[in-house]
Amino acid sequence: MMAEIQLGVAESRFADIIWENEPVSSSTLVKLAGEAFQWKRTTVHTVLRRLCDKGLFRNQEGMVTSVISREQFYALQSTQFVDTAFHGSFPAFLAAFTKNRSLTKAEREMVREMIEEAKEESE
Amino acid sequence: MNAVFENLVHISMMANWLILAVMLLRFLLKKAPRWITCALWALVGVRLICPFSIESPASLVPQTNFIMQGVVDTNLIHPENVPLNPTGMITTGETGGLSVAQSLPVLPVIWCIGVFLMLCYFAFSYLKMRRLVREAVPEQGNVWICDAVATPFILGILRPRIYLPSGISQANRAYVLAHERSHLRCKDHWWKPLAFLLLAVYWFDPFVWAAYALVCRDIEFACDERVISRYGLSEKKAYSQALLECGSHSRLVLTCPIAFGEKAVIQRVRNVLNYKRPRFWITLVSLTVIAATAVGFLTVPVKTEAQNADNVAVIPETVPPETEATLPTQETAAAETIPENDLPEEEWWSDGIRIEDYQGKSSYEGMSFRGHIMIIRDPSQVYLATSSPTLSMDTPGIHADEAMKLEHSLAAVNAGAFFDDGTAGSYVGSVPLGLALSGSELVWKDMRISDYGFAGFNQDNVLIVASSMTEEKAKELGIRDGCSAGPVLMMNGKPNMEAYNGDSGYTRRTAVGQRADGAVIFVCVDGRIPESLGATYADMIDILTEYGAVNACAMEGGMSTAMFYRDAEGRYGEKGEIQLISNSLAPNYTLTSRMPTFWMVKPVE
Repeated sequence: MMAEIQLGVAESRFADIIWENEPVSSSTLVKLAGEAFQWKRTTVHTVLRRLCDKGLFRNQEGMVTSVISREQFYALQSTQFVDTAFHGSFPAFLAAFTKNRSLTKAEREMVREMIEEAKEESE
Repeated sequence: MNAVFENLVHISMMANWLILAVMLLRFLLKKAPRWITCALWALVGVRLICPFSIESPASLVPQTNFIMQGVVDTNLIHPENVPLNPTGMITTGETGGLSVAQSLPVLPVIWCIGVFLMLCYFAFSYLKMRRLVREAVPEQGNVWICDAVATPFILGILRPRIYLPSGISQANRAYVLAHERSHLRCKDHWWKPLAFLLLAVYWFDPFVWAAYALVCRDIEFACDERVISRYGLSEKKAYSQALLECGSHSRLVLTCPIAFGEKAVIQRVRNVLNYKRPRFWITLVSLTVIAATAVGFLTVPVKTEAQNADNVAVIPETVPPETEATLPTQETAAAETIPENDLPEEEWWSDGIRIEDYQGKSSYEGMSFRGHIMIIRDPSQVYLATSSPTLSMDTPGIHADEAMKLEHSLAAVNAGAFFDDGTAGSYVGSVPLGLALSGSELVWKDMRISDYGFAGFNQDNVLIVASSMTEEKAKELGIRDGCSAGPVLMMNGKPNMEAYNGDSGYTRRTAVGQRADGAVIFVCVDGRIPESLGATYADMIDILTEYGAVNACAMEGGMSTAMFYRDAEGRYGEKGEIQLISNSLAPNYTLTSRMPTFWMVKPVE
């Protein structure tokens, strides 16, 4: 069950705050996350609810405690973060790193070869 | 709003040439540094933002016939018109010419809706991104990490932040940050929204869409290039790898739907791997190209004389040779398409005049009307006469036939607008409104209402019509005889569509026009009698078109409409008598107004 708990970087930073301060009231968490990440109260509650749903913490009448300790979590969890990312359309007026269509397998392979070949040419 | 839209259409038409040029140069300057292309796109931005154009003889923008016309309103309505006007409207619109918004008034509204939708998309997308990064956590400085995004990006205008996806590998992170920081250094987080705002304003222009799509690409190319210019091959490889890994998840962007050629990532990897430091001379050539493009496309050709006079039309064929050559070809063409109306020699009466009766059906509920067309072969015979040598409120106006006796002229037609407060005071009809010129002298100037239409002959006997006229402009144009009234009905062979479609009502009307061959046409339509209730402006334009008028302007109408003719050959009655041709209140012609100005036809010298 624990192996299924996967966190993104931001989630794990927030989880760290809970582990460091538990037992901690949700209002204190709002304050701590506000200081650390400039999060809004609603954001804190959203993320907290999600982590509780994942079975990492429990929130009993405003008091947050861990179900799984930090050590347990990191022992079982590979440090690789899953891609929980948003894959929808991306507004073009932002300066994004890349923002094109997904490449097909063949295209990825072609680009990979291009990169490989560049190496061979130089050597 | 109409004026704004008109101007935008005008700008976009000029900008399209620049966009085409930049597209071509972008292709030709493949070997040049990418920032050159970005600089060229910046010129497009300047062109789209700048509401005015500098004239330059070096301009490469083709001369278009899309001349901005001043739109003015005038309340040039004879009180008599009002009761019969079906809607009670007493304002006639008057314009110098036919323009996009005027021919289709719904266009500016559609444009506004389009801009609104584009801005909504902009706001909506921005807010959506803000929601996505709510849960981001600070990494260091302006770098934040966000679980909810798949590709690194910059958000924010004043305090921009770089957001990295949490899945990003340590290996890629340095390259991604180098790229994003290069964006920030070049203020790309400003240029991209600015480009989008321009797209929102010019959404109707497909060239601007194409330009926008290319700008988005070129900004990335230039950014890549700045980052890798100091890299060795292995770093370029790693950078390409970062591009590949970060780019493979993200989707087609909605505001950039024009996908063409290779997918951008492939192109970028290719560019990065093939990058060679541009040779100095290429940069030098490119800079020259930018300068030349700026001079050539940010300016417009020096206006020809005819265009300088803005909303003043001249007949090309009778224009003096030195200005004829510079007239836009389309204007000349307009005059050429006018059918040949000259009458066979035997049709002209001995005095160089011909009068025809006209029976028409009005555009207003198909009512029939009756008119008289006087054609004067030689425009030099036509001049403006006044009721007295010195016009003043104390000297009442006179009837046109009385004026004919004083002038010993062949014919007379009522002319310009005059003072009329709706009373029967003796000062009604004593002085003109607007300008009146006679024998190259300014005989009256009353600019309290400055936007009357104007019709006048210049020294070359060309009838110049204008939606407004000032003393200075009249002088500059060399007006010998002319007066204010209006609206302009025909300009350069084209009808004034605002007058044509406007709700002008039907009444007695007078107009003066000139054919391409120089012959002058007077149209007087009878009204207020059972067999002829009167004509609308549209009817007048139809008659003028039928008779081949190239330029024409309405004169004072209603009670003033009167056409008199000295009947030397006894066509209308006793030989040599002055006959009232128009105005069916005759025989008691004294019911026509007393007025201060008259168009007169003098005998051939």
